Amino acid sequence: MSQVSMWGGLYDENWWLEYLEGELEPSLKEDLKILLKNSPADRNCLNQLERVKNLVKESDEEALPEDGRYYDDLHDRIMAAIEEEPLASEEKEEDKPVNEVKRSWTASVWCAFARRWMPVQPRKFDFY
Amino acid sequence: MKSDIELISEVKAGNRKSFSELVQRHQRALLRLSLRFTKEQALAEDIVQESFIKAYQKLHLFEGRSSFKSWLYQIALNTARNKYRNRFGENAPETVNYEDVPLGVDPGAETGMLRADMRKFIRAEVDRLPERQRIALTLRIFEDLSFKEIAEIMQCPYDTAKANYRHALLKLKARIEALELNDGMGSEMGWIENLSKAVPEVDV
Repeated sequence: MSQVSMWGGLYDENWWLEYLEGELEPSLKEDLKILLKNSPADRNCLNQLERVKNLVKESDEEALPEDGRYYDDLHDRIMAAIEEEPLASEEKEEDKPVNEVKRSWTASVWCAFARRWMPVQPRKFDFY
Repeated sequence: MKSDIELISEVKAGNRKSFSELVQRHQRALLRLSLRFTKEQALAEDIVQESFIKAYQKLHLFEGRSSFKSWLYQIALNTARNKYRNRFGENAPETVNYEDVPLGVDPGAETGMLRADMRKFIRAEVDRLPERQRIALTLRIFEDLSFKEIAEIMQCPYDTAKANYRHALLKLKARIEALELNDGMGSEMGWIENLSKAVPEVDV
């Protein structure tokens, strides 16, 4: 279903953003490619989105230290801190699960009841 | 070269040196990510160090459903969030400080100057975005991650990660278009004046 967007294009910005991010199904993408050739308004919308994305990308200014020694120092500091930590796979003896059958208190009560009231040997009746 | 998963198995088996290889492999990317959110090298270094230590401590919980890098990013973002909160308490600023755009601009300013101002404006606008939108935008545009990875890092559904990114980009587009439209159909000085008005002043 198509919709006429506010600037007269056939699709709204969300479609073109999906197109730009490569998130559309291939068949739909082909349809939109044809539309792009014929609709200046839609072409304009896509171009504008692409431009904004590029502007944001260009605004990146995070300059990382270039010196290799800086990363060696950082690595050494991290590893020194890790040396003090117990090994990831290590488990304390007392933390290890103990293999024993645990019975709930209700089960224990039922067992006690059964031992007290149920005859060990079923009573035999001789009807003959 | 061994894969991350192989190295992790070795660490789990008790080989600490394999973790050293993982640190070397990912420390740069993690520092870049931390710097984006803190804008302060010392603080970013702390976050990197703390993230690796946490990753080491919790390595037995890593099941390999996501990549090690995504998992590490997730830890770093949470660490950065906590550190930021601890540092500024409840009054954590919404935006990170930035320099004011120079007001007195020569009429014959070069394109490079305009571009620099535009970059400043966009950086300020990115910093003003809500946290989750800013994270999604940063991970997508600057770190070049897929939406699947972003969703893993942000611990949210795939569509939510995409929606956060979409809202962020459309918001920036609207702000840039408003700035350009108000400049009296493209006069350079008008554009610059609008730019200086549009960038809010921040107490330094």
